[in-house]
Amino acid sequence: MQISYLSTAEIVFILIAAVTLIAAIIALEAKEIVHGALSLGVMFLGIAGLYILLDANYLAMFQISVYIGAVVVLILFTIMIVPREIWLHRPFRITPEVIAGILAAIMLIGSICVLYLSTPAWSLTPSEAPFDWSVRRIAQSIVIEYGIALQILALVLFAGLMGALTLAKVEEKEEETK
Amino acid sequence: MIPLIYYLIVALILFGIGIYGLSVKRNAMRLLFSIEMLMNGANLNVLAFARYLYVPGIQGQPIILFSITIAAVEAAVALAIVIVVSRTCETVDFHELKRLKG
Repeated sequence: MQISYLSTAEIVFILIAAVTLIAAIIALEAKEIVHGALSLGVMFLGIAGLYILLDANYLAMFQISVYIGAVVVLILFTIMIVPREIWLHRPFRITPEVIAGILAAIMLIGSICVLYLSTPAWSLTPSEAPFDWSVRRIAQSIVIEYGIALQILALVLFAGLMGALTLAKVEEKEEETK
Repeated sequence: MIPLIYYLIVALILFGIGIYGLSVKRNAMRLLFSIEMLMNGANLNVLAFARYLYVPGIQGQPIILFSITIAAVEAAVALAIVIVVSRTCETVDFHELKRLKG
């Protein structure tokens, strides 16, 4: 009987995937919202690890600097700004809502898994052809093929950040009354 | 090498966790976490397919860069809304926010 051992890449993949998924569940179910935010950071780190396994080193760096460096820090600041009594600290309880949510998620996962397993996609392995995965190629692709999209994205970024600033600004009258 | 289905299933489970959080949680911040999970699962799916193309190419990576940028903008706007709502309504429970209903 032949025993097939897991290769090193597979072991690393399974470890990173387990950490990612467990951190995602903790992020939703942690009692303190701060612990949830930190756990969300661990999840982003795990996704970055999966990107590295997929030969996308630049994307992994981008994921870490944008998500962990900006989004998680922004979330932590928001949690600190908003008074602590406002955050709901509900213990995890099994209610009909929770059961319905878990059932919905399991049905979604199960149905798409059946779809995947009925196609030959499960045995695909990446082509071993040598390819240039460098940042230079990404930059050329962004500027040459997606130049218009890049400029529209800059506009979206500007509009979004201006909208966020305008929303979060404290009104002058409101400040006087306080 | 790792088969494609491993990445697809991890992305799918992440997406399922996001759907669960989006349908069950009431805290505004938890809803934001769920949306981030949904976007990350979708990004991982796209990148896995892009890497396992028969002819390897770089085309998947710029799209994910754009997607990450959009997610960052969306998080900034959502956090601003959370701050405003917590200031004006004294709650972040979206089931109690009747003011948004017309």
